[in-house]
Amino acid sequence: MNRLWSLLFLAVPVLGIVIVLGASGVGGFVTDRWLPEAIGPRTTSVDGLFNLIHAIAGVVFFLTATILGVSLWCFSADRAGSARFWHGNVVLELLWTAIPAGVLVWLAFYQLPFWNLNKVDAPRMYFDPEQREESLTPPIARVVARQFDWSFVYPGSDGEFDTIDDVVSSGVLVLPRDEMNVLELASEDVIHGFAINALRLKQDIVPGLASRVWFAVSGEGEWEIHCTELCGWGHYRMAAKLRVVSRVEYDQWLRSTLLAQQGHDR
Amino acid sequence: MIQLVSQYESGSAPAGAPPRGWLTRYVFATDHKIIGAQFLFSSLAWMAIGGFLAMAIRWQLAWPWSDMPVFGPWLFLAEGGQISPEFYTMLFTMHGTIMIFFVVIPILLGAFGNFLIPLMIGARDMAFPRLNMASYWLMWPGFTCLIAAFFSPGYGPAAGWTSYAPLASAPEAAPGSGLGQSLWLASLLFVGASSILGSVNYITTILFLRVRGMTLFRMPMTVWGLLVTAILQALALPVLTAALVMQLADRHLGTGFFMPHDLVINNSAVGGGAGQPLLWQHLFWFYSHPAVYIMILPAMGMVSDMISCFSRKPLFGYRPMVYATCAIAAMGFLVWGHHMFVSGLNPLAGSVFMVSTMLIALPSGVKVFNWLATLWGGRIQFTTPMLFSVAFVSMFIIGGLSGILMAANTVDEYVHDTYYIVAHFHYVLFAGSIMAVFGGICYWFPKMFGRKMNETLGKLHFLLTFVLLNATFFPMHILGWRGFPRRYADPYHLEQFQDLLPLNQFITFAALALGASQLIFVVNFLYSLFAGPRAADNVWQANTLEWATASPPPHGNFFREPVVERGPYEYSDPRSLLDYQPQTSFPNGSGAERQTGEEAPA
Repeated sequence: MNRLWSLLFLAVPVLGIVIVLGASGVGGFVTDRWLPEAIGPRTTSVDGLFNLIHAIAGVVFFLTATILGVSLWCFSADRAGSARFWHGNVVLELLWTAIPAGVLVWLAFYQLPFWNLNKVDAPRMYFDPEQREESLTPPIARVVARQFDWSFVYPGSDGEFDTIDDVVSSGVLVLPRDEMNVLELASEDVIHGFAINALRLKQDIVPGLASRVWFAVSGEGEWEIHCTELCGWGHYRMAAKLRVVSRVEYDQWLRSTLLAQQGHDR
Repeated sequence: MIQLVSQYESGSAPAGAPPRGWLTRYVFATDHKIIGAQFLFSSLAWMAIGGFLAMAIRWQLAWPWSDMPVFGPWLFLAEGGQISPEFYTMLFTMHGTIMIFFVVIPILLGAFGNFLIPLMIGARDMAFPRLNMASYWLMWPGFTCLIAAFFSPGYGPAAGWTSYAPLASAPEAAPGSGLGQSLWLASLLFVGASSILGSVNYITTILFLRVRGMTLFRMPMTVWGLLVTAILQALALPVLTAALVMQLADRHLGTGFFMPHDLVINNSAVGGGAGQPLLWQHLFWFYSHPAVYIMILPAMGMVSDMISCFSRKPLFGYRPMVYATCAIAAMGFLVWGHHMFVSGLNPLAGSVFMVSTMLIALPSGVKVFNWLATLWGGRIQFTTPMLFSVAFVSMFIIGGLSGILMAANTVDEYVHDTYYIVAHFHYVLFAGSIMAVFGGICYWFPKMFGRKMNETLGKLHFLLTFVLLNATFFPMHILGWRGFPRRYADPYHLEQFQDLLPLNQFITFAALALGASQLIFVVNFLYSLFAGPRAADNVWQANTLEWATASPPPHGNFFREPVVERGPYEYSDPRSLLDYQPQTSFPNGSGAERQTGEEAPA
């Protein structure tokens, strides 16, 4: 009865696939959502790739784990005759090297453009005939991280940071909808991570190192920003809000915040 | 070849005369078998400590800020029995540090490496027995520093096992970044020095002390795994050592390797040079990614040996397996950047690391296919070591495939620093390496201690561990899909994760049960050590050289020089009467060993 052990290993692919399907929302019995709500165009490529890789991995997992369980069942000493005296097979080795290699290389190059879009090719604004080059879209705000809170600095009407008309918003990042927003990231102390799950966005903020992220948000609403690089004991509570509004509302908010700030300064 | 002959003909080097006193025999021992056992015992003790820390982490994630029963009032009196955020950051920092540097690496390399290498290649001992002793005893200053770190202000180091600067470099950054962090760095320096000494010894022994007939391509996969791992360690560890010294210098000598200008940490200006925090990450991962392979290649080797033995069938594709091991090691040096996709690393470099990481999945896949082909057509015996070995393969499939998702940097951006990563590396390290370790302990226990472990208890331990580890770690993938962050003392502080509390409570129940079921192993191990039935010399009817000597082997390992006639996996040769053919026996012979039971030469 020793080969009953193979049932344990056969349960791995079956239960594994059932649970994954359940969690992905097909059965809806583990969680009601597989991935969080998606709010911007950049999530399409991430989610598509996420599902694609899970699908490929799921098939490979199911096949290999089933073959494992079936071999245990079929070739248990309970019933098998003597073992085969095989040392290997060159054709098989070549096949199971070449096929996965093909899939992996294809996957690597298939996903390159998405990475370039999300992380490499920063949005460009206009063509300046004198400079003979495109200019990068300037950041709409600067994210300033410190233990353990976020503040967001807007350059104001002069378009320059660190001037008198900078607008500072503490704990709430307000952005206009349907526009490509570029953010500059800065840290005052240790490394923090700027993350918005609804955008599948993550970028560490290294003190002394300028970095940028860019994204557009398709709808209006509020979502959570959290820190994803261990930054000390209060790491877990380093959260902020992303509030996305229409362009008109955004301009109004910027103006009124500036006025309130100047009134406060006086 | 001079060394090959001399170790037996001179009758002395390198094993020397058997030690007389208790102290030189069991404590300051130079015999590789005793040193292996020392590594085994200390690593298992650390595994218990690391396990307790994991239980505490799970407690906090299931019932945040609630009083921990029994241990709570004793551990954190000041908080009235609750885990504080400072304590929590220490917990996962120390759990990771202990499990990686004090459990998995020393148990695979220190315990199995020491015990098995000379026996499997027919050597009388390691090439440098005293260096070997030094390598074990260097662990102890490391142990001392790490234990002292627990009692340093702020509960101890709390910058994660990765200790990223400036959090770890500036004492102002965290309560545990003071003395505790310095002790952490010192501890790793000692442990690292120990590993470097060990690696040099293993490489020399394997290359120069193989017995007559033991060509490189007749070595068991365990020895191949250990050889390649030792080379990895010898090449990568000096980089980490340098980085540790640099961080110590940043903290105590006023240098600024990893500290940029103008930091204001915790309301105080922190001086620094024109340093670069990312440099630490590069140096750290340049070692710590190969360390992932250091923690899996010996396990893969051990599993290959056990699967072939208990399938009673030659290992399928021995040479491709060796090439795959070497390929993993070589490519292991080219992929460290995949830990840094979102770190601020130039994203174009991220693309290069993405391609190299995708490709490193290939040799791992080749290994899995060869294990499956080894099982296919075998005559499978479901012993405890076999069950653990098959579990290794089964779980490594999951851990390996989830690795591909992270290799794709577009997706990694989302799952980085979530529980998906936690699920992945626990599948590789716990469900993988630790399963191989349990299997290896059951398999070689009779050889180490001359007694067999109890099979019933062994199988019960296996069953509970296998089921509960999946109940613990599989749901962590689901957490990761939802972007659930790691290293959070209270993830439910964020609204989007509040509905994941019940799932976390389920995981904690499973984890607590998983921890409790390890008691079966402890009982089996200790009972068998003193009262297990005496084991025959070749209890599993295996081929490799360690089974061709007494159990436990005498000082100097072999009574007479063994001569290797064939490869290690000649099981079920139709020309042979028995279904195994020890490496030392005559070709087409009865399978009986030559020299077992004969008296030692004068």
